[in-house]
Amino acid sequence: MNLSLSLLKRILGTPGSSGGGDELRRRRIIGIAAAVIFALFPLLPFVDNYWIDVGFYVGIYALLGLSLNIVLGEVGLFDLGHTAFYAIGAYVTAILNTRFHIPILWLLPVSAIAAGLFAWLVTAPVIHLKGDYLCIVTIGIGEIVRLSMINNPLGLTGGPNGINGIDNPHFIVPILSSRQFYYLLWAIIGLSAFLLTRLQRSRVGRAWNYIREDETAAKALGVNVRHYKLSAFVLGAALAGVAGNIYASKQMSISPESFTFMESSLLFCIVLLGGLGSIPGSVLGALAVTVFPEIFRPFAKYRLMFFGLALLLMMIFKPGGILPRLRDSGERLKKVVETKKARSSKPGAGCEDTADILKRANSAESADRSGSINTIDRADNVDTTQRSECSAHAETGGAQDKLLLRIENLGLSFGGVTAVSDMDLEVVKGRITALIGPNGAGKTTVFNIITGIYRPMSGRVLLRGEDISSRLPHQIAKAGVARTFQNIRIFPSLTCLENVLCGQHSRGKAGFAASMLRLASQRTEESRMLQKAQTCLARVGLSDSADSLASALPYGKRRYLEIARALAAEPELIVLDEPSSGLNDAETLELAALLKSLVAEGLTIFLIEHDMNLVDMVSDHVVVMQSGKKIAEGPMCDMRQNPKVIEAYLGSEED
Amino acid sequence: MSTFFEQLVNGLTVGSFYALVALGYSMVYGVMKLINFAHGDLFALGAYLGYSLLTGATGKITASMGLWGGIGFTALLVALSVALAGVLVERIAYRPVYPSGRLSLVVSALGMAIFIQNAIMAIWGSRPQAFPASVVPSLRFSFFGIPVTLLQVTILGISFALMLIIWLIVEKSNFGAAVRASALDRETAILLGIDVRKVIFFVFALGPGLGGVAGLMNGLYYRAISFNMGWNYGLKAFTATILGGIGNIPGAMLGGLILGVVESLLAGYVSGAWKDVFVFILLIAILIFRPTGLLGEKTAEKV
Repeated sequence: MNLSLSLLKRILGTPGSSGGGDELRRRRIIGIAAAVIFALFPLLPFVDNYWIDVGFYVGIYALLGLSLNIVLGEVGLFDLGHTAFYAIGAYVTAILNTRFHIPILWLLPVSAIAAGLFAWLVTAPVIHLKGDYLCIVTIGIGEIVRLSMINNPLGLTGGPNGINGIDNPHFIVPILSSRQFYYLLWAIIGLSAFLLTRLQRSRVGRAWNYIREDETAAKALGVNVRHYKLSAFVLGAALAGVAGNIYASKQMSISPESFTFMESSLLFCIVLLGGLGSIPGSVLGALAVTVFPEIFRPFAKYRLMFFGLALLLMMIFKPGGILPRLRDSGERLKKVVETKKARSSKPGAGCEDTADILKRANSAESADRSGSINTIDRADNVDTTQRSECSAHAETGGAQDKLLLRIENLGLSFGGVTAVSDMDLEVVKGRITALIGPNGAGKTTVFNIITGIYRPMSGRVLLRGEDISSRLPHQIAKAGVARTFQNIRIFPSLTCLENVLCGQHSRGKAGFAASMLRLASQRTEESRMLQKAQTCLARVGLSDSADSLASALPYGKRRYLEIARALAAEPELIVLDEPSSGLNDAETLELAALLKSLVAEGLTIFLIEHDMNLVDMVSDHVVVMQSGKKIAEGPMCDMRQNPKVIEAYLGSEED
Repeated sequence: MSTFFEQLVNGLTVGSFYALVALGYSMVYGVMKLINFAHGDLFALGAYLGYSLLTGATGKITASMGLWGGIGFTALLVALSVALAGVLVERIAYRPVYPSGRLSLVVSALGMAIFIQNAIMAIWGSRPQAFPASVVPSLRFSFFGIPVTLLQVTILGISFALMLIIWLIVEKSNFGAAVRASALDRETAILLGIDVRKVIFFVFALGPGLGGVAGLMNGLYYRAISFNMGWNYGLKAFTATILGGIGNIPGAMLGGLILGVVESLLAGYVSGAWKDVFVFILLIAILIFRPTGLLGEKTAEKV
């Protein structure tokens, strides 16, 4: 029974894991087989030019699918006008070739750059729009481009009839036959897929995925959301421009009919059919979308009807796509950035490394555990000892401690409702400051202002004396403030390790070129980031779950994952929004121990909390808010006796 | 000046088609948070059903009912059948996919749109069809000096009556309150005891029903209909929805009318060929400066 169950699991692929080695191996075999078939296909005796051309159009859709996958699959931006970029590539090639007789292959990079530039120009003003609004804008862009081509501006595009007489490419020999076109195109697809896979396994690719999974969390942890969204559009458009160039030279003529909204929706379907963010999936989706109508050609007028129905059935029975992306395990990510030299000259060097990390991780964990036992002991004594020493404990050492964060005269209102007003607050370095107050007091709003999610209407936020109130969230994260969220915001379909790596994003700088070429600097940086992330996971006791998907974690552990992610940002100040909510008593004690040990290591913590026992256990200083204003501050035990605070929580006595 | 008013009346007529179709988009989006890409093709289905009812053997029946009886009967039958089609679309394409998330829904909607479009082509053929000439007598008269045709008056009359009824239902009745509540927050609406399934049934019957009538009137107005007309009208109507503020019922009506008028004025005074380009540029400009549309409310992002 157990055996058959595990067998079944293996066949279906275990949900909630990053895809075991078995699945990876199976996919690799299928992938190699597919590559061999694609390479040999035009040479098979029974394959005539007609089917080679079908193979070519599969390739065009595959390339377009890969390009849309960057925007839609990796970043999750609804782009239903992607054909516009394809059209720009095709028309740039056609116009420059027919007018100035520039060779087609020279125009390949030109088309890519033109399409990318166009994408940047039209998406830069609208990139901040959300979901469906961006979707309708992309549809609009697609229509504007198509209609402009029809209207023949300056006599350039040839109107509804398009442009004829485009040359063939010339690569050593002139590329004329179906077979030559087929190999040219698939070579480009192979190269693109190779480079895109490298991007996926890098800081850039992960940043894209963070945005797709949770944009707010991504920017609060240091991802420059605007930059990565725009770059996805530019790169996707450039690749579509390449497809346009090859398509134009193969067809020798182009017309606006090839660039309709229907084409854009077809591309959308290719990405979804294959699996969001999956590179082999996009190729497979292109195969399905091109070959399906071909097979049903005998049924002429019903074939697209069947096609529509097939799309629908796919979404009912396999909404995740045919080949959903497998996430990489930590082991795999590590292997990828290890230099060949290191692997060959020092056999086992990698193992030593891992062992070393594990050892350190374990010791950190055990230290953590013993720490937690200590604090639990202390926590038990809280009632008897700490209370009596209350006022003595109050402001000891307050004077010589340095100020890390200072909020002055802060104010913000939403449509006439005042959320925060005249708020002053100080967070001292190396201490735990707690912000408490009844629901709706404006605590989370203060946090959102500190982390740059909201911009205050009045007042300043000073970090180490520097005004950060007009900075963007990712800049604030880089300046040393990391946060967690009240209603947990993890990246559900990424692994726990990848979640934590998000914190490290702002500590790295590898960009597109470095990641695609896998430069030495990128590899060193990547392995440093991986190590740090693993240490942070170990710090909260989640080492065992490193390779499982974050969505598979139980609630309590998700809070820890968020904390690990914030720690990985190497912050000076960590801002926690109700870290104990949803945790049981034992888990809360553990949390208290963790917070204390973090502060002991030099971190500064600022937290919102409703659990007064936790506040009592950990906080050095408490600020109480009500209706957007600070009503009291001091040590917790003083707050318990402060009439204003009691009134805020329990209502005044007259009531 | 008379061209201006002529274009204005023409724009209002086209705008009323957009408005009726936009209502369907908006109501469905409100409750399901889904762009019903099949909606434009249901509009085309309405046009084709109307064509079948007004020509051939059935044409004799509708003709025997007199002018208004015939048009009323055709409109009713078209509305009911397209409403039924709308409900079926929801059952087949959306309900089973709903749990899998928004992206799957988009693909499912596109699949349904392709299916309906090609089903229309399979039934009625790929060549454009023409509505019979002057079902409504081509009377011209002057309204305060503005020349209007009887057909325009009829279309505007029916459209505004329908819009008024929808507005009364959605804004004034108890059931309308349930629809609005489901649009604001589906989960809370369910918790408060609103039968969201009933609301979904309602929007998927009413929206396509209105769209079908708009398709019929569009056929009467332009006479030529083609199987793929739904894409273009759907796109325009959806633009109108966004313009007015998606999910907002009066916004959809206003957006449709404004879009129609702007379009005809552009065609009349600037350039007919470039009018659609200007319309989309206008849409993008509005979204940049007022991302939630003309009547949409600004909401703070909850973090």
